[in-house]
Amino acid sequence: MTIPAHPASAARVQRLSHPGHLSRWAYLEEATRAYARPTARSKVRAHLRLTTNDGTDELLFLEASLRVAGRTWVRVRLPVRPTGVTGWVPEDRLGAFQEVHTHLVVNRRSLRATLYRDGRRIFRAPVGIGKPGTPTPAGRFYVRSRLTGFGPSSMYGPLAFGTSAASRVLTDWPGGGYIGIHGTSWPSLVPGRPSHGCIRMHNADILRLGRLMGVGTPVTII
Amino acid sequence: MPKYRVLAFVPLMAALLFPAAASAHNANATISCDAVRATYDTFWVNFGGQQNTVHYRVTVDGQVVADGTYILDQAAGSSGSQTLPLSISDGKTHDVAFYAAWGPANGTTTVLDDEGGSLTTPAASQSIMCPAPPPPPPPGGETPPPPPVVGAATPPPAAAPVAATGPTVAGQPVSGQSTPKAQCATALVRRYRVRARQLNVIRVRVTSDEAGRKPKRGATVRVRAPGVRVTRRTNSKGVAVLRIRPHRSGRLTVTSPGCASPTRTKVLGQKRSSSGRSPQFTG
Repeated sequence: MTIPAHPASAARVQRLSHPGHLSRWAYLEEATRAYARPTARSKVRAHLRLTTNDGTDELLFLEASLRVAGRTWVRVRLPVRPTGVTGWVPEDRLGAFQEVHTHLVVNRRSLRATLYRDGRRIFRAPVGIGKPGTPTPAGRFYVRSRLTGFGPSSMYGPLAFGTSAASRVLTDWPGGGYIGIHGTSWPSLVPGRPSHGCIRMHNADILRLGRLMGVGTPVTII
Repeated sequence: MPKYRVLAFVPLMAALLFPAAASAHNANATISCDAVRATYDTFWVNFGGQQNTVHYRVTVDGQVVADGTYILDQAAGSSGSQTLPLSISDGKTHDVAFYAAWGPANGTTTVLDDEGGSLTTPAASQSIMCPAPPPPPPPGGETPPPPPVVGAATPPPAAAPVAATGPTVAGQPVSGQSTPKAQCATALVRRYRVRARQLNVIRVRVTSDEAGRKPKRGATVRVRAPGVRVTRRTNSKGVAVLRIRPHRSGRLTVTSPGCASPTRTKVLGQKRSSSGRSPQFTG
């Protein structure tokens, strides 16, 4: 929670997302820096580009907004390392706020993924997560991209969601070592802990999830 | 004596058949703070039914505030009169000019293709100074009818005259008056970056005074964009909130009945969150 220490300023923080009920996200419209605090004089947390490594347009999950000295700042979840970090970006660098009502929770202990919409559970499926040497990171992330069309025989199955989570171990992985939620070509390993950090599902489950969940959906890995 | 009767009959028949031959076709106007009253007379008459149409134009300080066509509808189409409302009330002196032209070269039809008038040399002009405006009407829930326009302080852009064809609809006159121009204005509350395939919430402010300070409550706001046609009413602050999702890129137009020129902004192309590229996740 990176908000100004002054109580009066803190009172003006407006929460933008309530995962599982109403969450907001936005495309990045201009390349910008994300700051540790809502001021351009604070530490830079990330340099944000307009496109992801997967060729999609960059989008950010919005947590809160704050007006400081006539400028509105938005606290966003950052798709950078250290994974799960948040930062402040000027609102004018973002596109129109979009809304989602879904929230995906991945339980690493029960090896299950549960999707909630407006507070109700609408989907549940077994998952495969990272093995002990390459664990799936815990934290609060979001769905950053949706990749499809690369063939069901792929090791990623017929559909993959990119998330803002990144492996804490595989830092030199091609594409940055981001964690995906995808199908699998080895269904017998699900549920289990077979992956390099990604969240695997049976292909039927990922296709069903693809119909229920859109980009910008908050993802909580516990 | 019979010889004199015949001589008198010839000019009488000529005057009846070709009255304009007796005196020149004429367009004139009287100019005041609230209207330009135009009169047209002694045009040719065609008993076969062809009509005389006049192209008229009114300018205030050189800015076009009324422009259209008018079909002469009096005396078998040989004359006519129309009132073009004005609303000049800022206590300043303004130059008001009235132009009228007719004939094929001026884009109108006339009996025997008669040409005349001018859209560059005024048929009537006057410098007038009008007193301060009357008190505004009380706000109501309904959108008031468009007031008779055209304040000199808020002339429309020359590229967008009152109406391309003035008071005519499908070539027929609605009345002898031009389409009035309004004294309200629409504006986006702030600069929006509207994108296709995204939810865009835009706020439109409608004001009823020239300075944009007086909000217009209950005004109808129409937004058109590719795949979008939305109508909302303004709240007590004169602001209408519209949630739109254009289908593709193009242009977004905001209008309000009776208001001046529409507000436009661009609809940008959609952003892409999906891709057919093979992932590079850790797997």
